[in-house]
Amino acid sequence: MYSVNRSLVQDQLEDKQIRKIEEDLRSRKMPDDVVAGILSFLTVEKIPLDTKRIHTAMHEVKQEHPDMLESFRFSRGDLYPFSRLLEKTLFRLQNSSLISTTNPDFKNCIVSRESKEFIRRNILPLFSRNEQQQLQEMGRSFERLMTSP
Amino acid sequence: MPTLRESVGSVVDKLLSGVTVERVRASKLIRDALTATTIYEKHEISLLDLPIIQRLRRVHQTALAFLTYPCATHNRFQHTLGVMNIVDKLAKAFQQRYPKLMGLETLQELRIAAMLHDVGQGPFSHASEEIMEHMGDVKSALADPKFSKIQGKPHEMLSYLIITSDGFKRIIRDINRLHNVNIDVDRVADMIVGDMSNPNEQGYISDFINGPFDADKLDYMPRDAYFSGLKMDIDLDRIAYTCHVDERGFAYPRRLCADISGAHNLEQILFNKVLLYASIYHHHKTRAAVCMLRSIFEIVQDRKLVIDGLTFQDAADFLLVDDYDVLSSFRRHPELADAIENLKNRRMLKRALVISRKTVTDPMKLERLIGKMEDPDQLKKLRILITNEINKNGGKCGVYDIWVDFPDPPSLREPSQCYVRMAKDEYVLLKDVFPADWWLTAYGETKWKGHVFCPPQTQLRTLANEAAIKVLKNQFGVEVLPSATKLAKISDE
Repeated sequence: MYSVNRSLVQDQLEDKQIRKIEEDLRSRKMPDDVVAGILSFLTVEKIPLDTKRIHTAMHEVKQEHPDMLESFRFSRGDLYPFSRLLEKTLFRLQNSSLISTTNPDFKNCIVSRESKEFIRRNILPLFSRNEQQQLQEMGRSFERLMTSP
Repeated sequence: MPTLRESVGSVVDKLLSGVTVERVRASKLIRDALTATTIYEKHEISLLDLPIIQRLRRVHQTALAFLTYPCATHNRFQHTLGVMNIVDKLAKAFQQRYPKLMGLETLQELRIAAMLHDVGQGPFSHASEEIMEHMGDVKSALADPKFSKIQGKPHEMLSYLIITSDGFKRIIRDINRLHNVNIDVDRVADMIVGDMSNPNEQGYISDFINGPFDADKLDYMPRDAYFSGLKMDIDLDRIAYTCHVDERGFAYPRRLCADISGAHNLEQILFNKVLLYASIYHHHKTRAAVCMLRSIFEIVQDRKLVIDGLTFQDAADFLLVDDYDVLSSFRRHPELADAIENLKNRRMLKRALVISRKTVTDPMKLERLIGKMEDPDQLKKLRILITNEINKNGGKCGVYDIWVDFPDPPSLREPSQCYVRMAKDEYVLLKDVFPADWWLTAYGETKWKGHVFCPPQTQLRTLANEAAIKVLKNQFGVEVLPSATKLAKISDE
């Protein structure tokens, strides 16, 4: 049977320590939060579910706001700039139903009003006022790039 | 703090200390279970005999999947030979059609690139890579645009740094001289990271090794499937004969593409990839074993243990050990003895909770939880809270016994990175022939799930289940459905 090493069993945490960890877990912004934040500022509900266009657009948005998208590294020399982190982030946003796809052709990616409202209520407060403003600008740029022919 | 390049340089010096290139009498025939018997030239045998490459015999190809699939004990060395065979086949078929684009030296270098592409793998392959990718020295090194194509696979960068180190270049010079060949090691390294000095003209060369449908994928997929007992195949002959180069010129880089008559073979490869993830790489037992290995290195790093002079605070240290070392020399440390014995004897962590969009009341609330997977420190804090809750209720376990795991999804970037030739001068992206973007969506909806793992004792599993449910609700507002517990099969086992 699996054996627990008793010498590595931690002592009970004090309330103060627990609160500190909880606060950090609640307040730490993750890359997924940034992308969710950007999507919450879209004025349209649908964007094309097109990996190439999405990654290319987000790469361009990164040129304007490098700090906000710092963790997203994009490839060069590919047919389009690709970021594995963005691919994972979009997958996770889909899995948490914040973005969805249209049936039956799966051609569009939907960010519903309900999703945007959820993000505004639960995710945007993680960001400072200045960061929220940046996310709004990023959302506009992203939308322009995704909806232009 | 030395840079990663400097640390890797020191590792190479250690591994090649006292090594001289041996004269090889003749080329050799080597049998492979999958890619048949192939001839290896004298200079290749000299290279294959180096400790840096022999080490790959002691690195399992599919990490710890052999604890779930008993036959999956194949190793990186076998895979290396397979990639050499496949790249040879692809490049020779290509050479027949484009003799000016595939000279003898390029063919030789592609074979060497195949041989060396995995020398940067740590113990248990991708399992240790999950640790290395979050290390500071790796992250800093990845900021170099040279490595921009390396997305989540730092071993390719480590392979590059090994190959371009002074110590390794010395060996290559000796091999070139001894065997009268002309291997350009910098070009070989560029092929591995997919960054040729003139990508518009030479991108097709690195595509054979690091491209949408490279020899690496064409070997690992059937190999992992075969040794796991999964029925799966690819039509390598057809892929070789339908592989072309984009000939539009000017605005279009010269990259490998497929003829429409071979597109369905590429579709089959992607289908296989999804199947491999669902069946092997993301199998809950495979993931539990990966978590157990990560705990071992966490203990080493947290407790600042020194194992045979290595601290594993730098990624380069991972290149000095193999799977056998982890299971043997690590065992000597009392803090690690239990963890190693658990792994060796397949005393596995088990599921306490299964989390997916189908097992929670409001999937939107998962966003804050699953996004944490990008930061192991955040993940660890979550594990600390769950462990504390377990122990508060009478359990007895450490944070190294508790894991919250949401595996990375398969990457399906290939269809949008590869053109298909429909007719002369008419090309479309592969994604327009078959839309694999949907597959990832479908994979997420039907296959992908996360787990809370804990020791297998039923009482601890029940406590871990209750603790995880409470912590996830308090921290993220995530409320689970009864199926999250039911699927963990706590009471059945």
